[in-house]
Amino acid sequence: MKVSWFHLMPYRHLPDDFEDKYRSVWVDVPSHLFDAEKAHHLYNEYLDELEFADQVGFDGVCVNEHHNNAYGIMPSPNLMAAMMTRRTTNAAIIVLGNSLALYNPPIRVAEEFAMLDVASGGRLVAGMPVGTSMDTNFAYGQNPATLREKYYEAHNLIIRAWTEPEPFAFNGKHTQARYVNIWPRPIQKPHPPVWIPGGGSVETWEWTSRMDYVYCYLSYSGYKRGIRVMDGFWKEMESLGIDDNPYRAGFLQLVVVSETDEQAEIEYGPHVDYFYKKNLHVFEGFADAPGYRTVRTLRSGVTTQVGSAASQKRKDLTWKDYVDDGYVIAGSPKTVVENLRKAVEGLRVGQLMVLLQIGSMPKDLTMKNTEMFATQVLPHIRDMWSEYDDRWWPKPLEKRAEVGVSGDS
Amino acid sequence: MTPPEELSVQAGAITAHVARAGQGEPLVYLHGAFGYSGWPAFLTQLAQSYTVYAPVHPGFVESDGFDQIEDILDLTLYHFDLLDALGLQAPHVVGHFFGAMIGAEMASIRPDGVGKLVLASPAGLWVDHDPGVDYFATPADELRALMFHNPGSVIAQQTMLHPKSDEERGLQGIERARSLSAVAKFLWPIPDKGLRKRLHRVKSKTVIVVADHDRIVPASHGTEFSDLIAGSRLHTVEGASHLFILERADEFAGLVAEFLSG
Repeated sequence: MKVSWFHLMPYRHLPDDFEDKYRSVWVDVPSHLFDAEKAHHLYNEYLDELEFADQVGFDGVCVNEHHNNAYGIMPSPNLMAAMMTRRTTNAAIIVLGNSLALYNPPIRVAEEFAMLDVASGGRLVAGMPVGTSMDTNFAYGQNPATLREKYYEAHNLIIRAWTEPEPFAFNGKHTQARYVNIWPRPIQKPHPPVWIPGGGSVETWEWTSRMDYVYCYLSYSGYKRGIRVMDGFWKEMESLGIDDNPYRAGFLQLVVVSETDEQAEIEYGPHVDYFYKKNLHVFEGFADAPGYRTVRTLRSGVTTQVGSAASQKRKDLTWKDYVDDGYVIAGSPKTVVENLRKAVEGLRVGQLMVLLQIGSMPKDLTMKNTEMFATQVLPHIRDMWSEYDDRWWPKPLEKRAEVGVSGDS
Repeated sequence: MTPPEELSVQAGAITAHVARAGQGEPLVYLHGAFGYSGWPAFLTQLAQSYTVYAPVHPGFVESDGFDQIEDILDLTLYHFDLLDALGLQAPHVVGHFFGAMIGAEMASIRPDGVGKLVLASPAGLWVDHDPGVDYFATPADELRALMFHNPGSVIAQQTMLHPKSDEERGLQGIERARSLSAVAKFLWPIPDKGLRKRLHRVKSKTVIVVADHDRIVPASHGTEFSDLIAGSRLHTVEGASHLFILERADEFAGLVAEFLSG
């Protein structure tokens, strides 16, 4: 199994009364709450954490894109990924991803991903989400009625830009270009692996499988609810006649490891609480612009992860609920290994992503969590799915460039 | 009045559903984005003197051709196709909110294609200092209070029903997503798609009707419309909100009838 270290880069200095005083952590979160000096330290500690994950043996490091928010202060994940190309050695660089409809023209994504792939020596995973409604419709003004068609068109353009051997003209509805001809072109052929983060809609499952991409269910409701969604995914694969290779699927799970189960609660409890009560405090009106989800998805009854109903549900959650309901896998290495294996088996995912910096968690604690996971959990879960072939993992160059000037270590 | 007749006509790529009632000169009513369903009471009054045609906007119901209507020009031309399909030449147009914007676009793009024009709470202009609330981001259970001056009234309760179960809430959510996304296609994220620079072309005799407490289209937008359409009249309904056309149906019908006959 592949295990990757996912960073959301949350703003971890929100006031204690944030969720009572303000309506949303996203879209219209008050600007005056942002302290640039504090954020300077945040970016640097967060990049340190990602680099550390590479050093201690995680298979990949993940970054993602969000706008107008204190949930994750990473409007450009490509900038973070660019810094990591030179400061990490082995880990896959998983950009999960670029919200394609927000780039005009989306050729920009083809170019920047190609740059990352070339600079990293072929370590890139190209994530292509639609993006949340908060990010795409409300923050970036994209029309919910046409967002998805724009996304699919952008995807087609990017894949062609990577794969067509000669310059070509593209006459799309949302992008027209007489000469598409990107320099550089990616190292990985025909193109870097494509992973699609999604929220559980059937249409995305169908499309992802048809394109032979990895589907990633990024959920904060934990593996127990995740299993119900992924059951649907695997049933859909079966009905489409697609094999059940677990590496077709990814899942993000919150994990905290300490010496004992009790110690885990003491150390991590407040930070997990911060994450669920502050970082996910999204005003209902921004959760789901009209048309963002298709009528078919609405009919299927998949609920949104944010908005007042979701916030209400989380309002009174305690540590016990987080743990019992699987929001967080927490405890001693033994407890974590046991539950994580159960989760991975139940979900049937080969691309496991773990969130080890959660909410307001400071650097020293994040490092501890990461180190304990790497030394006492990772070795006991790596063997899973070894009988399957992971066709969706980057294939880096065997001989890659030395980094740094001579004498620099 | 006998109940309105339900017609299906082919207008370009769209099969349009149109309710028709009454007799007299033709009048087309273009509905808004909220509280639009059914046959509103003011139309019954207008049907005493006019043949009233009330089409349902494409996209508000399952409709195959809607993906071919991509922008304001497509939308406006579709409405002229619809008039052709109904055999109407320069009918009077009464529109509310989104429907009023379409009426204004029609009269701007083809000034001889519209008779008299009634723009009730018209969408289509952006006023920086007075934009109104973001109705696209208004949670469903806050809508009634936003739309009606007296949200406890019978008409308000009937127009926007309290869901009695989760299932009903879900169905209402789907309905709202469908209708609002059809409107969002042309109004997102800011309802300014160039109408301001076209309105000088309007030749129709026009009245703009706004409500002093409308938070969707603030009354100041009425003033702007009236400044931009030469010779137009502006009427402000006092003590009223966005759905005054339902809440103050008699008054609105009387006002429209008086304007059209004048």
